[in-house]
Amino acid sequence: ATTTLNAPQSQVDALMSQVADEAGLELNMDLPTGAETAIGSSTKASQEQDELSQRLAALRQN
Amino acid sequence: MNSPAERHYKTLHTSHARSFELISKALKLDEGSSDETKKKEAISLYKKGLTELEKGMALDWRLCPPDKHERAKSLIEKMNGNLRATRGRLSDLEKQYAVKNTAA
Repeated sequence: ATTTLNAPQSQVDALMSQVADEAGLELNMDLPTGAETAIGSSTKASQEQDELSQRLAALRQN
Repeated sequence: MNSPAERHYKTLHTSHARSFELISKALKLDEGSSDETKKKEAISLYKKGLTELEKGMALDWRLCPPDKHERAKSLIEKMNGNLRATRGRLSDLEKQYAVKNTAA
């Protein structure tokens, strides 16, 4: 916890960005660009529908 | 972009977007209050959302462009799940408020 508090936000951001870039590069090497886009789009709309289903289910349990 | 397959996919996506907007609004009212007026507004929004979901269910992922088959199929499945969840919640609310309506 102490380490986290002492780390400057800019350094944390830079590290997060670096990790994301590295993961992105690895994904690009494994997947054709089209496939990656398709997965991204499908996830957003599908996740939104899932989110509604979960909230509705939660209300029914009350 | 304007091929029948593209239009079919666009219709599906529109149905998703509209149902999401309507049911999100209904949920905010439904979750946030036990006020009868708000519950009734929520019932009306859930019904509109259901109509949009039903439009989506009438579509076929196989008629979408081949590169969109997977996401269309997945979206239709999720919308179908949401359709059942919405019908269930709506039926609860209608039972709860039907009693008060007949009494009034």
